[in-house]
Amino acid sequence: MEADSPQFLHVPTLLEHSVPRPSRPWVWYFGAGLLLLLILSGLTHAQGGAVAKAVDVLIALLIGGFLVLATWFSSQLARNVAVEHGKIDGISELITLRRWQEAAVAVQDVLSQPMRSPGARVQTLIYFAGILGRYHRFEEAIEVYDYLLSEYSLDERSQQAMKLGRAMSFLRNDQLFDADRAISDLRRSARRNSVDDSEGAAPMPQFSESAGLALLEMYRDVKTGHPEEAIQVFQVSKDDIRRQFGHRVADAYALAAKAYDLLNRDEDARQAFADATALSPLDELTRRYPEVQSLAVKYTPTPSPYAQPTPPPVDLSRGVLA
Amino acid sequence: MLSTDDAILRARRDLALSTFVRRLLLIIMLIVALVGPMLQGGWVSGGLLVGLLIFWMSLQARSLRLSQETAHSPMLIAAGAYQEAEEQIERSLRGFSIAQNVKLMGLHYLSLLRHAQKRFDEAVLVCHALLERRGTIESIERSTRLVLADSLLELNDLRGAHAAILGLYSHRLSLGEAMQLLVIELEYSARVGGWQEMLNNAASKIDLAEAMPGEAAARAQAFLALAAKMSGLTEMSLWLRRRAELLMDPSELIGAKPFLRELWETSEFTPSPGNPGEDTFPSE
Repeated sequence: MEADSPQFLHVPTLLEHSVPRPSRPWVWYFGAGLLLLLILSGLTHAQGGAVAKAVDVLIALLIGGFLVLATWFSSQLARNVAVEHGKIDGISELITLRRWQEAAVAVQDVLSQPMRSPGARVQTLIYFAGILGRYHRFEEAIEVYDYLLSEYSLDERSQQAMKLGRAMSFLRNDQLFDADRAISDLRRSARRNSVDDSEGAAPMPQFSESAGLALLEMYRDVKTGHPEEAIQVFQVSKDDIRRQFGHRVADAYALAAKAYDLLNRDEDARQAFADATALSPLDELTRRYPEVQSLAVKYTPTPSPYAQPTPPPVDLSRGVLA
Repeated sequence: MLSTDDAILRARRDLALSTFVRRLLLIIMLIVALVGPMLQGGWVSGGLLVGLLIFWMSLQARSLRLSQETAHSPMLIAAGAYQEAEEQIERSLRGFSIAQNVKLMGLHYLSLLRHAQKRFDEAVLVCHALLERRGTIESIERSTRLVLADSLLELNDLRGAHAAILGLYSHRLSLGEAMQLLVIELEYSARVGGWQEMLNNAASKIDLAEAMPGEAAARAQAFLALAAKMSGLTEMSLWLRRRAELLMDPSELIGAKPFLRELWETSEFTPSPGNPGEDTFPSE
């Protein structure tokens, strides 16, 4: 399917088509067949003769055939599962490399047919929601997140990750009330997890240190005109964000620059903007946070010593596709 | 607690034992399936075969359980819970498993653990034990070679590290592995003074570094900054150094790789927005 087709990345279609098909119960068929033959064998042995011998040979052939077929089916199944995993790993790599258009095409391809396992489907749908968000199709991204959160019983951390994505989509879609409620829910979960983890569970990274939640709160505070709170979150969470997000800490610097600018702290804003643009290209930052656009007029971005050819923008927004 | 040497010996012994048991069971099942019905009749041979299949499946289930238990080890190692990771790995190496993957993964996780614990000599021992075995799963082999190369670098065995890096060129790496290899290659080249080689195709290397986790991204760009500095590319060096500083404290970077001190030794960096330097980025 072409990237500009109206059905491209169509959420209801892909959700419907990607549902895994139940596999045929081959083992039960074999078991029933074997049981039948064993009963037959018992009956024929009671009578003796050539029929009993023939049934025994049939049983041997059935068992031998089953072993061969089971091996063949298992290898086919393993191969198909490996192919699907390979495709999902490929999508993950394309997203990491920010090759969004290719990732979108790959997701469309994978979700257009029944998937092999629910786990692989969940993973692909998470990537799907991320791609929709990338192309500013936030309502559809929320639809996918809602579907995932309602249809699957996932572990706490996966749920939190999806709720983060959903809350960010609310914010970007200017659904501030929904976003605030989603963030409050995340903060409550973070506190609960923090208490649970301190009571003896495995020492995994605490959700209270979640870089995603910190970024979300900064963005909400910038959007709703509370720059002091955004700066406070930035100062407390900067180390966590850079440890967990690497170069995406540029997002935090960009939002901090906006917050400083709202407070007329020009020197701090200039420095934060320079740091943000040292780590990430300006157009990438403004694509993620349109509010940062106004800073580009006021402050000079850090120049990159090399100019990368910018790929032509691909618009996969719903407006274009409709 | 199982010592590294004992773990390797036990894994080798268990791998041989599991191969023997697996082959024996297969041969018995084939004999019972094909010959049994002609000698004894369907009931006896069928029952025996079903029993053997159930026994086989229970061994497989045990292997799967061990494998699932050990699968958490990398997360524990990443979270710094070395004691718990060690206990999990030890359980997988002590328990019997008919599937060889469980033992191989156990050994692999042990190499990751020893590397994280900075017990690099022991990590090297485990990696060699894994690599000398024919038929090791390719993904384990690639990851093991990466751990080996990094451990050898830490032990200042540059020749060994170079050999381990070369061994990876014949493999098709995943993106994550390519990122790890890039950091290792950059460090190796920095240690042998291969500045020009480091700057070859630098734009792609920087792009890849941008997709790395924070610490790896900081290191990669600090190595490149040092190469740029040594090659007289001041503007590029300062830009890369600033990026590394924003991703990781310089004191932590220098603490982990003392030769990076040179990057911060002479001039103080001052961000110079809007003032590009005269030097240009090396051509691709």
